[in-house]
Formats: sequence, C-alpha cells, structure tokens
Amino acid sequence: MNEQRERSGNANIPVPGPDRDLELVSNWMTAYSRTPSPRDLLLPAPETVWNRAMERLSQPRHLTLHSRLTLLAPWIAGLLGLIGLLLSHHPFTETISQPIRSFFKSLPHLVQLIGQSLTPMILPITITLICAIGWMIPKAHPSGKRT
Amino acid sequence: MDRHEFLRLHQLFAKPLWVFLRKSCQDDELAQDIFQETMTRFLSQKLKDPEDVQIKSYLFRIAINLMNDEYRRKQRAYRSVPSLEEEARRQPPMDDLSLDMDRLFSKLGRKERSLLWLSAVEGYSHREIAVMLNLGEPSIRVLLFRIKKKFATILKGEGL
Repeated sequence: MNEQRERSGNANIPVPGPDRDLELVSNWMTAYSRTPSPRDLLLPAPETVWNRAMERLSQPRHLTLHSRLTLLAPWIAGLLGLIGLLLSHHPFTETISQPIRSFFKSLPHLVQLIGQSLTPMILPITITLICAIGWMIPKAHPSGKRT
Repeated sequence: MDRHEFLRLHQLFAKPLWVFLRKSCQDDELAQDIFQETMTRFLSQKLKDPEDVQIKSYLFRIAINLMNDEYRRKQRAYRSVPSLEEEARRQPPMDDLSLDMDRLFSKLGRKERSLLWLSAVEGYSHREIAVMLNLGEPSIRVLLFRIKKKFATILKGEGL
C-alpha cells in the first residue's frame, strides 16, 4: 500500500491495485478459448462452403419486398421530385395553395406572415423532403450494415 | 476470388470465425448457417487486394451483422420461446469441462458474449470493435467494463 501511495504522488490517495474482477474474467476467457470443445470440430469443410457459396451465387438474386423498395426508392423519389418541379410552375399549385392560405389567415399575425410567405413553396418543399427521405432510405449492403 | 485463394483464407480465418460464432450463438445449427452465409457474402464481394487482417475483420463484421439480423428476426417470430440465456440458466451443470464453460458463458447475453470474445480472445482493440459493431469507441470501453463486471459476478456466483 505504501508503494502504491508513493506512486500516486500523494500519501492520502491510494492507487487501486489491479482489478481482481477483470483479472478473473480475463483468466477465465483465456482458459475458455484454450479448452477444446468437441463441437469445435463441426467446422464446415472448405470444399462444402465453397460449393454451397458458388451454387448460391450462380442462382438469380432473390430480392425481398423491402430490398426491392429500397432499391427503387431513389428512382421513385427522383421521379416525384421531377413531377414536383413541373407542378410548381403549374396553376394547379396555386389552386391547392388556397385552402392552406385560408388556414394561415386564422392564425396569429406572425405565423400568418411566415405561413403565407411559405405557402407557394409548400409543394416543392414537400416533394424535396420526399426525395431526401428516399435518398436516405438505407440501401442493402453486402455486410448487412445499413449504409 | 478463385478457389485456391479461398482455401488459403479458409485455412487462416475459418476456425477463429467458427469458434466465435459458436460461442456467441451457443447454437451449432445457427452458427453453421451464419458461417455459410458470411462466406457466401464475402465471396460475392470484389475486394481489391485487401490485407489478411482486413479480411478477418471484414468477415467478423459480416458475421456480427448477420447474427444481429437473425436474432432480430427470431425475436419477432418466437417472442414466447425462451431465449438461449434463459434456457442456459435452467440447464443443470454438465460434466464435460468445455460444455460447463459454455453453460457459464451462456449466462451472458448474445451481444455481450460477442463483445467479450472479440476483446478477450481475438484481441481486437476498442477502436476495431467499435468499427465492427458500428458503435462509438467510448461506448465499447464502457460496455466491456460492465460486461466484465457482470461476468465476474456470474463466475464468483459459481464459486470461481
């Protein structure tokens, strides 16, 4: 203990010794990894693994509905973005903006001002958001990690 | 990748990967499925002259992600079925040393087993594990400390 106190540079602060719990776990894990288990012999033979993998890879890729959607999402979002861009120059945008404008009129003055100035932008903003979400949907990664 | 190169890599990394999967899953059939799928996914990749160390770490990463997916699916499908850990707790002590050690290790959760194995046996640094598990390095340090403390309590409870 005295040695530990000297090492700490302060006689009142004892330096803790090696953590016995961590040591116990570390020793046990070492022993565990070195204890052969009969089931370790079940390691699949390399030829079998290779043949199965090649068989799988030669088959046409099966896509789940989720994979299909994630692959299509950027294209769908892009298409919607294009439609949005075209519609923002169309009188239709003004038509759908009317009820939104009326809604903002019922709100306090400041909100009304902000809302009304943003109204013509609502359709492009919505579509841009859809696009952004579409792009952000994780694409399937071979490691299984969501990118 | 050709067959010859695959056999070389298999010789180098299959055993550590297989043992890691067995110890983490504590289910031989599941470990075999994940092992095969890991290798298939690895072979489907066109890696440009990676170093062996990178390959090993990549294989472990694929395996961990597959394990996570599999357990997530299992949890959804079999919510009423007791978990491996619960089953392990109910099992009586076995005579065979390695099986008895498996039983003790099963008392940790599946993610805890993986983390502890990667750190204590495979010798991966906190940073490397953080990359594999897609977590922050400080989180790994804290998690590992807690897991070790928890496991020490388990071991002491068994009179070790």
